[in-house]
Amino acid sequence: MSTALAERHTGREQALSRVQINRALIALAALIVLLMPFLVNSGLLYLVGVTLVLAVYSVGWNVLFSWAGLASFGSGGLFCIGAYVAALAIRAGWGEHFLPVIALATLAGALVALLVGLVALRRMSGIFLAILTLSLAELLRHVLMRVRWLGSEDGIPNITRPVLSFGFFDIDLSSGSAYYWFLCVASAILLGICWWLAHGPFGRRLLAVRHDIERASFIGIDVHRSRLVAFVVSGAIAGCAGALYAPWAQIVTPDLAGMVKSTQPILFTLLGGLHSFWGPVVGAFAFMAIDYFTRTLIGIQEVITGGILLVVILVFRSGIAGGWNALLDGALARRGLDRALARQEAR
Amino acid sequence: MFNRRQFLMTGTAAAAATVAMPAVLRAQSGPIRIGVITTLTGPGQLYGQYIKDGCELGAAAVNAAGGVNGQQIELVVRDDKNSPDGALAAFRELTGDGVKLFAQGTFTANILATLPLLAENDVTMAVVGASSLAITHQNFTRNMFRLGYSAPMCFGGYGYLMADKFPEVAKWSVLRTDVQALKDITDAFQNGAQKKAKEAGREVSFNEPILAPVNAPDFRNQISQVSNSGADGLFNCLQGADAISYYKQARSFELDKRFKLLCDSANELSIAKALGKNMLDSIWSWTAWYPQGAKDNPVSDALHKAFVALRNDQYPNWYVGVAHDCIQTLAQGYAKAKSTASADLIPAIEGLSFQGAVGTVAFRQEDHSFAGDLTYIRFGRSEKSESGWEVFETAGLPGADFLEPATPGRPLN
Amino acid sequence: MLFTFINSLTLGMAVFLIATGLTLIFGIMRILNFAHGACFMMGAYISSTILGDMPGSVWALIGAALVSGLVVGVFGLIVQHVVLARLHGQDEHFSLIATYAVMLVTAGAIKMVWGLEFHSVDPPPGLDGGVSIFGTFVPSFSLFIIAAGIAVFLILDYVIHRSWGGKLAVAIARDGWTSSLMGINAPLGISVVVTGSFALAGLAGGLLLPNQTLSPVLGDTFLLLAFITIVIGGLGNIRGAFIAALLLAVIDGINAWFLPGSPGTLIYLGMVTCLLLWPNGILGESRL
Repeated sequence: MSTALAERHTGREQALSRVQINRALIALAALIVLLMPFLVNSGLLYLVGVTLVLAVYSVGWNVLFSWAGLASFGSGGLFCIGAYVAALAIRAGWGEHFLPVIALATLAGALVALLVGLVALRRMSGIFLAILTLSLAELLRHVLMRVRWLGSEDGIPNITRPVLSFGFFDIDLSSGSAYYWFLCVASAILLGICWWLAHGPFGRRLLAVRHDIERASFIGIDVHRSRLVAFVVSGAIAGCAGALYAPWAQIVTPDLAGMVKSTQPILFTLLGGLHSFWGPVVGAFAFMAIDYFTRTLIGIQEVITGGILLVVILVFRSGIAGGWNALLDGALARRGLDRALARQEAR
Repeated sequence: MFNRRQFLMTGTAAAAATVAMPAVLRAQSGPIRIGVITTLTGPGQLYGQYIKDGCELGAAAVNAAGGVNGQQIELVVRDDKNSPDGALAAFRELTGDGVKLFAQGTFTANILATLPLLAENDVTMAVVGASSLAITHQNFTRNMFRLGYSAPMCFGGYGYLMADKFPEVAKWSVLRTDVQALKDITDAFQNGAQKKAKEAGREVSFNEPILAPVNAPDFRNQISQVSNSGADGLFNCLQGADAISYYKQARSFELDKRFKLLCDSANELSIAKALGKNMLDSIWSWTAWYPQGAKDNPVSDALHKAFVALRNDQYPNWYVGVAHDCIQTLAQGYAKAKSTASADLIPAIEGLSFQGAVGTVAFRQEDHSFAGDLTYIRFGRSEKSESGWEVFETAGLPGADFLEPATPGRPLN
Repeated sequence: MLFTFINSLTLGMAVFLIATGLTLIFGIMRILNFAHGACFMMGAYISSTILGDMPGSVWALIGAALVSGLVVGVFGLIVQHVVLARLHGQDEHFSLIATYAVMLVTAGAIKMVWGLEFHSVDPPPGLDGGVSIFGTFVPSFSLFIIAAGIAVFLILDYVIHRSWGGKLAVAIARDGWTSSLMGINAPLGISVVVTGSFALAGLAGGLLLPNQTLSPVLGDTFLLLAFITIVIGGLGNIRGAFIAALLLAVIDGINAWFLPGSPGTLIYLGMVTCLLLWPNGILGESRL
């Protein structure tokens, strides 16, 4: 074997192994998440469940942001709509048809996103879109706070976890950790859909639009339609995540439409890694960990959260996922170099 | 010094003993833990801090007196992060660690989040101060005791008291933000005032409430509506920083000269502490705890001294007294039941009646509503006082007379 | 009617005072500064520490506001060097999150230094009463805020559009690379504008202090309104922000006059309408 060939060979080995290591890590993480009910107490389990929902919601947001290049600051509004639809449906006794209820909430999120997108997307982008969506969500929050039928500012409490009915057999989600595993399965399916959308032809079209609008339209991509579809998909995922969230928290409040919920996906994505599919997931869990481990430091939590964010942004410019990949590449390259050197010496 | 073998043996013996011992005795082996969940971030932090102080002083008082059933109280304080999510995470974390006694306070939504979980976790909770009707009505659960003041009780009583003391005020103006909880409060005030007027054969009318946005920078448009209303009395139902901005901006309009009677809902002395020498001439407010007016109550006096030693502040917020009494309630209930199991503890607390900082503490059997004494204070600008203001008078009412009918499990219509 | 209008104008000018710094930093760095509200609050707290409960005179109030502006400006310079300059050339969303983090740290630090309790500072003598205009009672502090808003607008407009320094800043904002080719020290220019933007937040805090209650939520009160103002006006555009602030006042006045039952809602509706009519703001986006 010639040296050149050997080097090329190790090169391919490296490229493969980074992907392999990350795949193994994702599988391990998924396994840990699945086994959580046996590992941690119910407080942490609750947080992990919430984080899972928020991670899916943020991945949906990131498809819009990193692929279509559109930043929505009002996704909390769509999340809130999904959550309220599910809460109302369960309150009305439709809990045993929870899967259609989720579909309904997803549809509601998609429909509202479609309406907003139809009016806004043709005319504006960038910061203007951000502010428009932010104030629409804020408007929704104000409206929800005034509707007594929807519980005003205290929202809808006492949401029961549903029993899924499939005619000849039932799945009881109300007992023990059943709903948690239901969340895991639902999140996996939604992440799968997002992955397929982002890495399939649709995702490539969006990337083309983001990189160069003119060229994209020149080769026959309907720019407006692609963006609108991305906006609707992201809204559907937000609505669906909201519907999954409602029975987990067992309470929904108008604050779900507030700025905190809307900025969460942005924070998660940037902390986890921009332009990376798994970035928002990493960011969401990193944020949860920060929150959890600083929970007893009362009064200085804001300063700590802010400080950690600053350090991450200044030190790992491409977020945790990007930093990790760079670290891994560096380590692998060094190992590959060591091996090549060792081989040369041996010869 | 034990050797390893001895240690193992003692360990095994202890474990066997633990299994054999009844729950009561087992609990005595360590301190008794009480989870405190309150708002320590965001806009509610000011009140959450008072609740934390009050709970800590309450626990310190119990511990200084030798603890309960020979055990010391250990508080585990958690922040609800100003959201139901935060409250739920904290609640589940602590119940997962085996905490059975809780005190939770500030925003209603955060309390409504944890209420459905009390029974299934065998938890007994004292709710600190929250006034929402939902807690003792449609969302009632037996494991909860609300040491707080329902709107019909404390603001119905307030309206009644004002109509009684000031028969010359025949027309009222009301200012509030467009929030359901404040609507409940102003409605209760109106009902109370009209009830008393009817009893005395008089007429009292209320203008349509004037609405202000929440967390607004400017209230002058509302102030002008208020001052052009032609009313004799003004019931102001803004909260926190909003209320103080409003009073500041209203100063040049000389509200106190335009109205015969000014009433604030529940901001009590925080108005005077902020405005200092520019305090209004005279204003009424409800409060749950005014230690200077309760010198004959040794519990209140001791708590006041402890608070001044802790924070060097003569005028603690009412939440301090209520939070202190919540810990006392749990401690006294535990002393009586000698068990933290809710099946034993709930009847024990239901039968409780003791002197707390806020007066007699007792709960109504049916819906665990607090039915204690109501306190109202009048304060205002004073040249004599160094701070620029002083409290002129206090008035009290028996809360039980004004408590709304109990409808546990159903909304009050 | 006149009274309502003057009240709304007071609100508009108060928001404008805060929006100036926000639009300035957007003009040069293309970021929405989330920390602006917290810096405004910092300015107010610093002023209150200087003044005590009762300012001696109008000039004491203005002097304290200038000192606060200076201190907050220095803080801005530090933020620029430690944080923003390092993110230069990166995706602008990183700067956005960085300002969010700075906001958290600043707000947390303010709580630690000044505590949670409400504080209040009174208007100085001379501004604590009212005057009568066409038979309508108008608080004199409202007039002070309106005057301050107009004065700040005129000064800034002159500095940016007429003065040599302002033209340099505009050049850097339009094309930093070319201007550095022409011998302009672009990083220095950016530092100056960022410092100025923070200083304006501090100044606004000092000037509006007697109008508001000091509490740790003060920053949030204005931030969203200021965002809306600079977006309606056209980002980075001082004149646009001024016009938008006037528009905000009119909308708020209409709301108070015709829809007293739902305060604060028309502003959102108005903004949505404005954005649909003028998707890039009334005067269009401007690089300073």
